[in-house]
Amino acid sequence: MENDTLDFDNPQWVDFTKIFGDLLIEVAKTDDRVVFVGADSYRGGGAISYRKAFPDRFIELGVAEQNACGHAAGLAFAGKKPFFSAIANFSTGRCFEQIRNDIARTGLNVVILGRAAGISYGTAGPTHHSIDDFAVLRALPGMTIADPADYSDFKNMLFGAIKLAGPVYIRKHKQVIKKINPDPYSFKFGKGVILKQGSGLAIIACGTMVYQSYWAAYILKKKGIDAAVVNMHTIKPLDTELLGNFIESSGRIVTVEEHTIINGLGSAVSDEIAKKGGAIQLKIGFNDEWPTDGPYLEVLDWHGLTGPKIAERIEQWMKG
Amino acid sequence: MLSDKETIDLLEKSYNNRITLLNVLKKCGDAHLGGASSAMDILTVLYNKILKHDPANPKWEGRDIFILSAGHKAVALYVVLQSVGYFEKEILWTYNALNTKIPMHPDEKLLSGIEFPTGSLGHGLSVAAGIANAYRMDKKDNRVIALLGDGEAAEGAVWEAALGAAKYGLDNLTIIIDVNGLQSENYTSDILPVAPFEPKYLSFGWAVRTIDGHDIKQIYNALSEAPYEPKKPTCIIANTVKAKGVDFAENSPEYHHWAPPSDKMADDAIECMKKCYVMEVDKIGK
Repeated sequence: MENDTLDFDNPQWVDFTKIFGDLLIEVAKTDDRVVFVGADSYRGGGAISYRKAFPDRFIELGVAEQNACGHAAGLAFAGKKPFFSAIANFSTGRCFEQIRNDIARTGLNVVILGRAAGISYGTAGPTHHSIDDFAVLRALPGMTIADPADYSDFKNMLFGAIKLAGPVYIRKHKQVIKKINPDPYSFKFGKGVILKQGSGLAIIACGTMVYQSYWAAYILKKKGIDAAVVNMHTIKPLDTELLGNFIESSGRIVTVEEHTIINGLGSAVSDEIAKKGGAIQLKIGFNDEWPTDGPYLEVLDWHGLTGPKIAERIEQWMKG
Repeated sequence: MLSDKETIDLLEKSYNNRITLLNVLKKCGDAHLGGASSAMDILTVLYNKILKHDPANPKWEGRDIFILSAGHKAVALYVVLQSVGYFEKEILWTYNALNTKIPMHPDEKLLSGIEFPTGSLGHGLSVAAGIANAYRMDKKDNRVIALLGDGEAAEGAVWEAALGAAKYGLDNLTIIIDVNGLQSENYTSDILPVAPFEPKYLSFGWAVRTIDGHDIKQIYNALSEAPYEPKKPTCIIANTVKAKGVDFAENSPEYHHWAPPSDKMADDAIECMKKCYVMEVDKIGK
């Protein structure tokens, strides 16, 4: 395995909701147009330090995501670089039409953060799970949709988002591996990162599932299955060039995402395969179902989204 | 203060705009007659006397920003923008046509003078407040003005935005609510009673004035004297008549949209409008 720093028994996690404020301070230092827009989400969302550092560039609008989202659009219209943060289901679902009309349709550079996306809030129940955020946003032209796999991805996304022309959605996970990307690595929205080469099989994953997929590849390798692993941190626009290479070279593609298998990373990959053929695909994610409730890692395991379960699923598929 | 002459001049512009509006309907078919005509005096005063803007330089940084939150009144805005020089009159006759620059709801990518795409109700105040908040942060003195409908007030996001604008003391923000008492399907009092507006906005922390939305002097004074209180956004409640000037259509739920069934009906409406203009001129100075 290329990355020999990973210890699958004792993984080093990071909580993006804890470090977000400190990173945003660094971004804000580089560009005085940066403003934070919260919907009763700055403390749990990790922006306490940012509020202290930039009280005049901190806007809090209460439990009113539709307004916060429209307000962010207005700020961007007037030249600001808003970072709008709320719990993922509320920053994407509750204000979907504001994203659609006021941000995506206009093409304004608003950065939308999905706090505790996926099932980060595993115990919080179905209203706080967000496994359809890619699905709704992917339908909007001009959106950039990104799911960071580790600290370096998240940091690069925050710095890079304000250099893009249009709207950006970034997931802000609570429990994600601290480091999985190679060192050094080059980050660019829309460009996947190869973590491991392989033959006859490529696992394309995003966000938290990059680590789990890497773990799965480690298990599979012991069983004689040599899977490539790609960190496809940008779901839209998809790195079709890199994907095309793996379709051609491996003929078997597995996609893994902490998201419904409908209209997320797996569907984006399917769309490419449908155009060109050349590969069969296994989509791993939530199978058009509501997630169960419980501690995060246990919910992941229940739904087959941990390394060993992913490996088992792939092994069965390879045999089948 | 406007002199009587200036008032009559604006009134004439406004009724010429209404006649142009009816000609758009005559040539192009269905449009939102009711709301367009109820808002016409307000829009005419805004673009002729209140807003800092430059049709030759629509993106001028010093301009005030106007957001038509009630986007379905766009046909009135198109007529007004054309009348002050934003584009050639021929474009008006493309309303409802394939690839028009003036769709039923405004599109900022198609036409200079349109600041923001609206049409889904309840968005405009949030956006306007965001713009006003950015100007406040940057200590710019550009005003932000938004026009809302009374039926639109059923959208909860309007009230979210009203609270947020008050929190940030956006006295560079003015909204005008075109209270014509009707909405798409029927009277607002029947669909969802939202009146009275004044106590609601007062309790939300706004400075409020209620006017006759067809009285040119009241419109001008209300808009030019804002803000009424420092650190408070301004709400102007403009009581209006839906389909103002077309007597057979006024205050009727049947004329939210209208496609004149014949040229004669359109011409009859234009004649009504001319008579209404004479009556309105008679009121001035009295």
